[in-house]
Amino acid sequence: MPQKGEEKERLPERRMEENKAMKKRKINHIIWGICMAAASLFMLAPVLMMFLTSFKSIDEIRTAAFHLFPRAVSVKNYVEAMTSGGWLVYFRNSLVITLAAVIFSLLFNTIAGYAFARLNFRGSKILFLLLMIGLMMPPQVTMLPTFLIMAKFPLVGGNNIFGAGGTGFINTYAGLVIPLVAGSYGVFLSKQFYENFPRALDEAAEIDGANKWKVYFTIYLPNSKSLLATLGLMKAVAVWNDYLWPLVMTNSESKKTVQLALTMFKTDGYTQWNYLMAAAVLIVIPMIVLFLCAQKYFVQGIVTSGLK
Amino acid sequence: MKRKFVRLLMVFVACAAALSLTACGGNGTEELVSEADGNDEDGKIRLVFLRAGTEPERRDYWNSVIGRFEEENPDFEIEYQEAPWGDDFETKLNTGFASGTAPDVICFSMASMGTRVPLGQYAPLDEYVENWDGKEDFMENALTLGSVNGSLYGIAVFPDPRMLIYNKEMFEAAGLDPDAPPTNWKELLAAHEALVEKDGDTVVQTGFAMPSSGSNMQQYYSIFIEQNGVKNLVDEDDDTVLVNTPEAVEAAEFMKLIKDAGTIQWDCSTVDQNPFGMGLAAMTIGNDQDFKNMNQGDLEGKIAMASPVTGTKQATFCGVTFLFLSGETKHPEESWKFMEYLSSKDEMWTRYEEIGATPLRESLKEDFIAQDPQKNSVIYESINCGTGSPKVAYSNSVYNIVNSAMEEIMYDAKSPEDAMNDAAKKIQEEIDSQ
Repeated sequence: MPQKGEEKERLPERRMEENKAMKKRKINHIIWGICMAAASLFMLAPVLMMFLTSFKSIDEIRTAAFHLFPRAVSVKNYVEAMTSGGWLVYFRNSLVITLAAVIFSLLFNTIAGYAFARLNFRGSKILFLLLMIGLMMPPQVTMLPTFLIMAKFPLVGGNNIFGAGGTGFINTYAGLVIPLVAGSYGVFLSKQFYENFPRALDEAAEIDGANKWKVYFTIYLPNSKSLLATLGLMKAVAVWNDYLWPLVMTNSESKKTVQLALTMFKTDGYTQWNYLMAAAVLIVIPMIVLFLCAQKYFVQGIVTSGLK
Repeated sequence: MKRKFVRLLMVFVACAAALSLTACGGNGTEELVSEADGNDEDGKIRLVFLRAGTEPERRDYWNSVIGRFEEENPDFEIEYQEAPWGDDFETKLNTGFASGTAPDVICFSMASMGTRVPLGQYAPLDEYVENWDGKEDFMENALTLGSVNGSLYGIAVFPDPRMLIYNKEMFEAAGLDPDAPPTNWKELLAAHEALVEKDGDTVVQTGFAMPSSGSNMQQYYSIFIEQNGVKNLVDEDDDTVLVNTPEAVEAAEFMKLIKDAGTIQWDCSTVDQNPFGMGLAAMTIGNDQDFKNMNQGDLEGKIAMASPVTGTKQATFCGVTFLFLSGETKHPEESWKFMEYLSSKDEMWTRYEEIGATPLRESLKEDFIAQDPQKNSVIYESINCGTGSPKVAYSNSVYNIVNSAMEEIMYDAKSPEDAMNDAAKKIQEEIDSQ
């Protein structure tokens, strides 16, 4: 046993050691911070370039000497880009499609996820396996069959009962939204999330006489904020940025989305970078705002679903 | 009650999905029912016109010409559609043809003929052109470029020839006559050497902006080999590979000579990287649109356009956007009527006035040249001596192979002869696998 005097003598040593450890932690913290800042800068560099280029004139962009910052800040590019073409219509279309796809996909994906997580029904494992196969299927593979189903849908867009004679869902909001409302990833994420819920909740609700729908709508759904934020954000970004599906499904200005509209600044071999960058900045703003609003829940949702 | 409704709804959705799936299975179901004839309830003939490109100015032009056509032909209703150039347009067309919703009239590139003509997606126009009064007046080379195996498939609408663009101010500074651009290879090389400026080993100004890489290297190569008497990269009539003929290799060696005399490396996939546009090169190859775009800012008023140079003959690359009649249209006669209207003398002139498209009728030549004698005569000359992409199904593979070979030459990885012999082997393999 050390004596009291010895302890007193060792106290400054301990403090020194503690101070050293604290210093080390601080240094590690600073190094880690610098690394993260560098990584963030690396990730943000293209966005920063886009933002800065959006203020440059086309002559300034084309010049041989590269300057990161514009010579003079002017919103001319923004004004001219937004006045070429019906951008209000393009933004409205993207907004309508994204909102509809997000709302319906949240509903269908969470219901399906709940069913896979909580309902015991015959063939659930095979069905889930089939769903997982869908995860591995690139969208380019399913694009043409989906397009055909949409084009040949009976009794829609002038089609007869056999799906012939008209254009089906082509060039309609429904045609743009329907194929996006359900997805393997969303169902998988929901299933993982709901499996973490205590079964006692279901049992208590059943004792109180609630059926499965009521359990889902009154217990599961209200407690799924982080899941809904995660799924909603991912779907919103995917739909807002989607280019290929609107390209094949739409054929008029009235249904054009913002991503399709960007191509107006690019001709065969020549790009109006100043306008393209200005329009791109405006297009990413809604997604950045959405991410900032849902960021807290988004991270939580990913963690609680067991996905990293 | 609720449950019954849900069940009924589910049965309806399942039936609809099943019917739509069966309808996708080709013509089987469609044969059981009468297809709509493309006419609206009011008896109007409804045609779909799809064009490559999404530029607002051209969209405005197409909408106005459609308006004029509908006004003159009240029985017609033309639906205008557009899609971006390149793979996006191919995707759009592919889905249209696969689903039976292909447009009636298509405005697209010459290269597309190589794949779409053999598939029957573009219809031959010979029977319509036979009685067309515009045939005799149309520029002969424009009709030739729109033909495959002697049959006409495309009516040229936007010619896009490549010409020599040069910087007069730089010529003057180098002691060259700004009004006498090079006319042949010898003069081109001499002017190039006179214009190169170096800071130590670094080239700070070049004469001819020879690219070192990029997806359009094949265009540069085809220009030089054709100027040396070679028909094209491949002979589309009998699938003979021509990239490694002695004349073609000689052209590759000439391009390498220019490079070795001093060039600024650039990727020719996009025009934006061209050192000419940055004031670092005195000569380049470009089209009318490139000239307009470059003749702005610091270069405004300093640049001029000249005829393509001559090796053993005058030649250049001339891309053309054509009007094609869909092989699946239910209204071929009516679609031709629309195409005929677009190719009429008046409409061609309006197109020139509104969006600067070169008119392709001989009867408009004088008026066109009178608008800008120096520039427009060069454009006409270039269209007349221009050759386009080989109209073969494997053209994309040819481009990729030639692009790689040119890159190997420019970066000294292989000699021109070896690079082109290897390229020829690869192209032959591609042809054999067709």
